[in-house]
Amino acid sequence: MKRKILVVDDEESIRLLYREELEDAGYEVRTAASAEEALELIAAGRPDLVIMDIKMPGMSGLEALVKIKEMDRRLPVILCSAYGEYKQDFSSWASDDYVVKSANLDELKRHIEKILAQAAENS
Amino acid sequence: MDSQVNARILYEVIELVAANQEVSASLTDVSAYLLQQFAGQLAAVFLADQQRENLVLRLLVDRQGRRLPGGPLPRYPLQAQNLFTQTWISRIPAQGGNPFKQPPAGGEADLPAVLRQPECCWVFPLGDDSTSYGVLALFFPREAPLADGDSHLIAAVSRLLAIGIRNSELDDWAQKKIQRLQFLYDFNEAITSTMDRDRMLSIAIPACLQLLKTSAYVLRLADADSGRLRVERQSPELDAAEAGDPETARQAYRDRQPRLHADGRFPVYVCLPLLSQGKAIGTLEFFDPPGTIPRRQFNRQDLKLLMTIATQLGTALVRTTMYQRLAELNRENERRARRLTTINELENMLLAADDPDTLMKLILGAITSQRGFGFDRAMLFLLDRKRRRLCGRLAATKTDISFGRGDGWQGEEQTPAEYLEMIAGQLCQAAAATPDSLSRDLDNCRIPLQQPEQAIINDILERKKAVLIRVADPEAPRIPPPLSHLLTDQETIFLPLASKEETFGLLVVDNGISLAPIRQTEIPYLKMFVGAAALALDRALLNIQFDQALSMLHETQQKLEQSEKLAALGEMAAGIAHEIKNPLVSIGGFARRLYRQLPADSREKAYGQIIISEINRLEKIVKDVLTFSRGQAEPLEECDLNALVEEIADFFRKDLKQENIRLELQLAPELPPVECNRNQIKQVLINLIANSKQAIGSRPGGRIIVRSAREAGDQPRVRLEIEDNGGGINPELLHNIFNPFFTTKDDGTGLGLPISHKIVLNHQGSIKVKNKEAEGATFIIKLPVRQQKLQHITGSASEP
Repeated sequence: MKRKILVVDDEESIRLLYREELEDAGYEVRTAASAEEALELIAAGRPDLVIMDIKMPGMSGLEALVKIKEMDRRLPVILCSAYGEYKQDFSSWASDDYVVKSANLDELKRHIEKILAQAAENS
Repeated sequence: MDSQVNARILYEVIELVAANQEVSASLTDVSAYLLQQFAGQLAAVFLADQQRENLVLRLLVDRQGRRLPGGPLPRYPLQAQNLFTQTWISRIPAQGGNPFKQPPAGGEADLPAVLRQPECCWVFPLGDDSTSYGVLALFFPREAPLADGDSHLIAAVSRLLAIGIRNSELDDWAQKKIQRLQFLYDFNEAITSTMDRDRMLSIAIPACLQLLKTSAYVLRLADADSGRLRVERQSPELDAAEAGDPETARQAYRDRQPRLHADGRFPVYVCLPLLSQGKAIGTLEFFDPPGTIPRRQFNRQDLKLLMTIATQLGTALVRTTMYQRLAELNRENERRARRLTTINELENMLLAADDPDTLMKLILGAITSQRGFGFDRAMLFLLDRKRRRLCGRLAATKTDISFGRGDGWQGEEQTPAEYLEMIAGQLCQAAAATPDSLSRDLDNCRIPLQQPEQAIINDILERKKAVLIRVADPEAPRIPPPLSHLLTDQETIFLPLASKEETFGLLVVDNGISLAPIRQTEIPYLKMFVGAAALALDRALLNIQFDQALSMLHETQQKLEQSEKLAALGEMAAGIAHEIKNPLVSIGGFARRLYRQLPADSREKAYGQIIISEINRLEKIVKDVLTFSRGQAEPLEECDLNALVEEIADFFRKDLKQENIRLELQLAPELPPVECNRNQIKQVLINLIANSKQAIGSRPGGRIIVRSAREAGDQPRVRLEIEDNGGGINPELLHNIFNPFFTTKDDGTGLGLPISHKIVLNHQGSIKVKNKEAEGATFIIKLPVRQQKLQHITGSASEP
């Protein structure tokens, strides 16, 4: 069964890229253009993993992260942003991982596999 | 005898007298003639001696005109009562028995036997109206052979002879007089021919010795102040002990009268007071040393001549002494004038120069050049105020560079400024010609003034006065090493270089090559010049300091402006970078997707590859910009830097091995843990090692050393060093390396070092580079063990 990944990003081109790449990698991908939309989608059906941009109009990715964790502590969220160097800062926000946004998605894919494997172990 | 015969005799006598120039020849011939005419046996001529106290037998003649050999001649004092002295006194012819018949008393025992033969004797006076010169005695074998007329005739002949004697005496006297005058004339000419006292004496004294026929002399001169006589010069063969007769000399000096025959120690002795304008200035003694046979005796008549000589000599001595003093004075004046001119020129020269190096060369050149001060060596030290020590700066040795209007200035064709410039050039050249050994010794000479043994140097500097010290003199203050190593045993002048406020250097001047004594008269001029030189040098040094301060200020200002600009630029860059990031990710992401679908070996595949790698590059730039421009507080943790270094070493090891670069760790044991952002510090180390690796490139024998060490103190620190042998950093670029966007690498972003710099600064640490051009660079990071205030690392970012 394909694992479900929710990609949240305000940029359409990014959403498209992530969708295609992750579908190619064998995941079932849904996308949301804002944090609000993401929260609705999660409420409608739990994905296995959320990939969340930070800087978005309206609710920021960090706020959405807090809300998601309130709804479901065990839903893994990977923050994915253009801010390069401050992964440590986000650890306190209880995200499960942080990946710097890059045109090369290999690293993101490695992180997704790692996080999903951890989640499977924990459940 | 008739009158005709008498007339003939008289005529012939007159003929005989007239034929002879020598009075003794006349006496001989006339005596022999009379003996022939009157059947005499012998004739004797007694003449009075110079003092006219004694009659001395001067001539004994037989009938053939033969002079009989003389032995010890009889000598009759005036008081002696005999036929001869009576006639001498009475001037009346007399006759009697031969006085030599009876053995006479006194010194006549050895008279020639022939004198005893005659029975009778006639004695005629040899005298004119004023003087009785002596007597003529005719000896006969029998008594009373002469008639009255005969005796009258002989008396008349005697009178004639007396006139001859008188003429001869007058002639002698005149000759002597002329000789003395000639001598005095020659003497005077000789001693006035020179103005040099020594030369004058070396002419005068031998002339006197020859004239006086003595072998030794002592010249004493009176001391101008005490009036005491001291020996000025004397015959070289004399011992100091037997030098004349000081007591008699004192008397002669006091009485201004010559003295003869001092105390019998000397066979011959005369002491002349040397007179000038009636004043005694000394004495001159002529004598034969004890134990020698005298060649003559002085008599009173000599004294007049001697006094004339003494006066001439005295005058000449005063004259030459005066002349010498005047000449000396004149020379001194000339020297003074030349010195003042020189100093004036040199000062002008100093005013024209404004950089300290040129000035120092000029100063030393002036001191050591021949027409400047002509010292052998000069060494200049400057005070390092911070470390409180004197440092050798420049040395110069004697040169033959000359200057002064007299010899170098080419009149109208050269302006004074050009002339000074020429001289300055020469002086600088001369200063540059200093032997390497001296320059090297001087360069190495550092005098630590805070050390107690350097008290004398401190003292000299503080007093600001020139000092002359004869180093070898046990009484003199001892100059301690290291300065003493540069000095000789001779006199050395120490001249502090002082501005109005304080001493800032020291000039050491000596004749350490020729070891010639230092002329005291030169010192005031040297002081004058060095005083002016010090002011000029001080001004130049201050100018330099001022310039440096100004340029530092300027630099700081620029840096400040730069950092403000950078901060603004950074903010803007961050904004732009973030906006670029998302499009970049989509472009890059889709490019990759397209790339994967392109057939291998197609051109499109190659294009895709280029797009992808360029996107990678852009992404890296954006990432670096964001890192640099946004500081963000991160949690601090205690971190073992040694462990961190080892971790990074593991990370690099494989990579470095491939490049044949040796990585060496020199880690201090028991390094205290450092409070820091581990990841940031890790990034710094990674950046630096990556830089080193890149700098080494393919150089053979590449090596990177990472060291750690602890630094104790109020604020303990840990020091990390990353050293490479990658050829170092171009010094021209050195000041730029911590500036953002500056890079020498083709593929660098120029942010590696600025980020490292910023991270270290945020940790209240420091990062420095020790660059050895053509060898390598060492980056030195110092981090405090404890962070004092957290906000310092917070940086400027407000939100992510």
